[in-house]
Amino acid sequence: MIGRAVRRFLLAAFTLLLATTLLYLAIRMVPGTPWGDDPATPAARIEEWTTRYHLDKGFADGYLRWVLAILRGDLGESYVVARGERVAALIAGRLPVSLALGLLGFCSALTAATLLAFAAARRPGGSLDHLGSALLYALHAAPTFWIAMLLQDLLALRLGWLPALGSGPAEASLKAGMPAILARIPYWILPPACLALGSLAFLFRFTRASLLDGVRSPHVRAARARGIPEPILLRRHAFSATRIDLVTLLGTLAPAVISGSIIIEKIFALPGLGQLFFLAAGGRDYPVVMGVGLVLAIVSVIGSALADLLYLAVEPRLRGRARAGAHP
Amino acid sequence: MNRTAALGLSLLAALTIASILAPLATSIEILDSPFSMDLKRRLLPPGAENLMGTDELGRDVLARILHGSRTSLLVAFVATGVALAIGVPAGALAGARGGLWDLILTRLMEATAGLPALPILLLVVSLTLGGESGEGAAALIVLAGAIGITRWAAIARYVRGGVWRAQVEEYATAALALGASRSRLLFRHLLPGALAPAMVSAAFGAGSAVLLESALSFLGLGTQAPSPSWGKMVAAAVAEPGAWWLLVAPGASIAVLVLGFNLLAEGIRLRDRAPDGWSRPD
Repeated sequence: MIGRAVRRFLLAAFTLLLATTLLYLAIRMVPGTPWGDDPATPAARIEEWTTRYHLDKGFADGYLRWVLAILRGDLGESYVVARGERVAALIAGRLPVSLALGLLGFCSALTAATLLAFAAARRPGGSLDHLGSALLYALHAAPTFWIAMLLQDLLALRLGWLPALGSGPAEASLKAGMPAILARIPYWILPPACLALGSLAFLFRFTRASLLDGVRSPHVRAARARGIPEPILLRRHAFSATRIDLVTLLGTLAPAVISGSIIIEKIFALPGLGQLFFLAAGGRDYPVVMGVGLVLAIVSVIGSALADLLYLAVEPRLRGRARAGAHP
Repeated sequence: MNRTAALGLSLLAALTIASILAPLATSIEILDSPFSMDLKRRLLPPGAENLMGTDELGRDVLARILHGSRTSLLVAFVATGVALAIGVPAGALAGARGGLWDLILTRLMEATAGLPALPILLLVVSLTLGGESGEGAAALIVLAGAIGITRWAAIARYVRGGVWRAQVEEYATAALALGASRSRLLFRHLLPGALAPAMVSAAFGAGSAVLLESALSFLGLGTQAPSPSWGKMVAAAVAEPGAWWLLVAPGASIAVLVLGFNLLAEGIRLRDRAPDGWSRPD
C-alpha cells in the first residue's frame, strides 16, 4: 500500500514536471517579448525588462530558473497583467473565488446526480428512468457555456430572480458579519449550478449504471430473498459498491471542473483563477501563466492521485492485484 | 445497425449534407450569403422571410447556421483523425511491446488524461493563432489538430487494453503456432478486436472536439475561419439580450451535432458490447 502510494505520487510529480515543461515551452516558443505589441513602451525599457527577467537567455535557462525559484517558494512577479505585483499575491487573491465555485459546483453535481440516479434505479426502464436519461443525454451534448447563458438570460435578465454578474457587493467581507454574507448568497447560486450541469449527465449515467450493477449482484439478490425492503436494498446494499466507484470519479473530474470554471467565470464575471489565466495567456504574462498553470495542474494531478489511493483504501481486493501487476 | 446508431448517423448526415449544400444554395440565391449585411433589416425575429431571424448586422441567421456547420464538422473530423493517428499506434505499441514502451506510453497517457484540455488549448491558441496568423482555413486545421492532440490518450488506452487482452487468447497463440510474424499477429489478429472500443471513444471524442472548439470560439479565441462559427455566434448574442433567437439557434445546433456523434458512439458500443467510453466533460 505504501509502495503503491509512493509510486502514485511519483507519477503525479512526473506529470507536474511534464506539464510545466510543456507550458514553459509553449509560452517561450513564440518569438518576441510580452511587451512587443505595446507601442507606448520605449524600446530601451523593453530591452531592460528582457535582461532583467532573463528572457534574452535560452529556454532551458529560463525553465531551470523558474523551477529553482518555485523550490524556494517564489512564483516571481507579473510582467503585464499587474506589472510588478507578486504572482503569489495575485493567485491568493483569486483562489477563494475559484475554490468556492469549484467546490460548490462539484458538490451540487455529485448530490444531484446521486439523487437522480437513485430515482431512476428504483424502477429501471420505467418512465422516470427513460425521461431522466433522455434529458440528461441532451444536456450532455449541449455546450456548458450555452446552458449557462440561457439560464443567465432567463433567470437573471428576464425574470430578475438572481443577479446576472459578479460575486456580490465588494464591501461584504467576512468581517462585516452575517448580513454581508447573506447579501452574497444570491450571487452564488447560478454560477455553481451551471458548473454542476456540465458534469451532471456524466455523473448520473455512471452512478445509475453502477447502482443497477449492484442491484443485479448476488449479495443484493440474497438480501432481497431475506425480505429486505427495496428502498433499503438500493440505499444500503447496492450503493455500497457504487460508493467505491464514485470515489474514483471524484479525482478524474478535477480537470473538468477546472475547464468548466474558466467558462463560468467568464460568463458571470467572477474574479477567479480562470479569469486570471485567460488574461495572462492573452497578455503573454509568463510568470502569471506559469503560476496559475502550476496551481491548476496541481489540483488536477493531486485529485486523481488521491482518488486512486482512496480507491485502494476502500477496495481491499484490488491491493493484491496491484501487487501482482495485473492489467486493467 | 441499431436504432441508436442510425439516429446518430442520420443527424450527422443531415448536417454534413447541409454543410455541402449551403455554399451551393447561396450561389444560386436560394439562401442568403452568411456575410451580406442589411442594416435596415437588423434583429428581425424569426419569420417567413428569415426563418431564424436576422442578427445585429442584418445577416440571415439560418444562412450563418448552415454555413457554420462547415467549421464544426471540419474541426470534428480533423481532430478525431489526429487523435486516432496518434492514439492507435501508441496504444498498439504499448500493448504489443509491453515493458519499457508500455511504461513510458502509459505514463504519458495518464499525464495527458489528467490535465484539463481547455486551459492548454486556450494558451496555445492565444499564443500562436493571434492576429493575422489566426485567419483562414489553415488556422482552423491547426486548432483542430491541437484539439486532437489533447484527445489521443483516451483512444490509446482502449487500444492498449484490447491488444493486451487479445494476446493471451487462444487464437493469438494459434496464429503464432502457424508461424505468423509479430507484425502479422498485431495487424491481423490483435488490432481488429481492439479497434471497436477505440471507435466508440473516437466518436465520443468527435463530439468533445466540437464542444472544445465552440468553447474556445465563445471565449473569443477561435480562428477567423472563412465560415461563421457557432461558438462565436453564441458569444455575439450576449450583446443583444432581447434577441433570444441569436442565442438559441447556434447553441442548439452545437447540441444537435454533438448529440449525433454521441448517439453514433452509443450505437457502436451497443453493437460491439464495447466498454463505456463516455468522455469526461471538458
